[in-house]
Amino acid sequence: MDYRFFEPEDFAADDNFQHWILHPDQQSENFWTEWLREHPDKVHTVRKAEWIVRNITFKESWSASERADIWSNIQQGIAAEETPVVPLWRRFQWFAAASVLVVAAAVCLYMFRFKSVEIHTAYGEMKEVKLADGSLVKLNANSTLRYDRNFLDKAIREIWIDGEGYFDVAKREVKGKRVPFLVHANTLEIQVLGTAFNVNNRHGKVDVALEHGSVKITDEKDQNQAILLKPGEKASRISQKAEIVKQQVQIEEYTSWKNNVILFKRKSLTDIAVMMKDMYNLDVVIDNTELAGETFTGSFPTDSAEVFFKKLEKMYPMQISKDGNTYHLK
Amino acid sequence: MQLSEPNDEETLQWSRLRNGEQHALAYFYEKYADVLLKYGLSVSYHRELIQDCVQELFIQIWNRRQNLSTPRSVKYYLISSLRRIIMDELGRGRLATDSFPEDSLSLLEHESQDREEMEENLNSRLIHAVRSLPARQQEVVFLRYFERMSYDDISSLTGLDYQVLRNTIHRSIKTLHKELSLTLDLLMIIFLSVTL
Repeated sequence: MDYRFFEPEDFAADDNFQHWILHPDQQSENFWTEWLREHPDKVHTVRKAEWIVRNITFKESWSASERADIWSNIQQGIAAEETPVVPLWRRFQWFAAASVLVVAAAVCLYMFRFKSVEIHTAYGEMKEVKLADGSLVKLNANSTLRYDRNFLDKAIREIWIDGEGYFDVAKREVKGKRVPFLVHANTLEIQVLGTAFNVNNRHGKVDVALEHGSVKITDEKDQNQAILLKPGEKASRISQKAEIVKQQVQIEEYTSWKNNVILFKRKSLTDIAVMMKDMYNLDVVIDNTELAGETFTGSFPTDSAEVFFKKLEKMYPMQISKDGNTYHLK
Repeated sequence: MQLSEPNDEETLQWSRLRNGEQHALAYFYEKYADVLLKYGLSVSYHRELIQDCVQELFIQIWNRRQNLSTPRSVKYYLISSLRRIIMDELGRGRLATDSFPEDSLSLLEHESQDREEMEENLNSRLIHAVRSLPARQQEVVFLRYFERMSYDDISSLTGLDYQVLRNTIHRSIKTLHKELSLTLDLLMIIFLSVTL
């Protein structure tokens, strides 16, 4: 190899040169020291090449929380796959063969008659829905979840939500291919990449708060509007025409309800009034207009909105009176 | 990367993994999570995607543990498996590749810099320049200069033949050198006047 006409990049890309820098040994050391002595005018060039080769580095590393998230997702993934399948049919082959026909006929009839499943919660009610793929959806009060009965047989797992739900999505593979999970909220599509998050879709406004994992949110009508969420981030869109906005949030504020606690941090009484209507069908009328701008920080159990009003009464100089389903704040 | 040297600890942990001991999986995760991130970002600069793929990788290894043989190098095995998963994901066109954030490093130059400052500045510019290379070049640069992998191993990992691989490396280094050229010249003049 004639190194006399080499530029720094030629040295840096040369096998022997790389070997000298990356895996130095006596032989290469001898060769290059000798060569440099014979070509002192190339010292500059060689040092430049050496500097580049030595200093190429990659700095990225996982943050502690990312590291922990990934590991917990791995463990979840493992647990999901490990559920033992007991080959019962081996023991009851004949019986099984006969029942398969009967069941298959029944299933066909059933599927023919009911194409999609709809689950609804009443005011003040919560439900936990376990989907056929092992994913869990906790449905908040006054909310509806809808999916195709043959949800599992499709290339994409798709589900529609009105109201509020907390999703803990299980990974699913068919023949080594991952099956995507897609949540529709209004016209937004939330593409799930193995994860847990909260969706609130009420009055045309959609809020998606991500606990761990990652999701991609796109607008059905405008695929260019897409946002990727990291844990602790929330995406919201106030109406179909508005842009999707991303912000950092305290995730507990959005997901605490699934543990039967409603958590407010500096939430305006006007916002709380809307929520009371959505979840409990309670009308909150703020008679004293000065109160409308006040905020509330605190918590109350989901099964007792009463506690909230008691706390509120202690915090602010106000009188709360109840008339049927209506609370008046004065 | 010491691919050829057998690593006793890894061999032991690998056989534990095959026997279904989860802490052995944790051992490899702890050891290689960061390298896999750096490598993954060289293939596609998309942190969420790589996170997802790394998860997938370890879940797959666990599920197939009974059919696994002991790899010559666990690190090589992890890197090549991660590559396959990322390629599958990208091939599905599910996600476009994000580019490296341009504003993540300021490229300001000052006239009155001492050598240390200048070298530091140059270092961060090099990091930036590497991340600005096309993905294929970043990948090869990562494997060759950071992981110090042999050409043979890089060839079998990426499917590039030797000549293409060398050209790719040459092209990458040329770009890097061009990015840094002026400051590097200055640095060398100072450098050489001190050391020689």
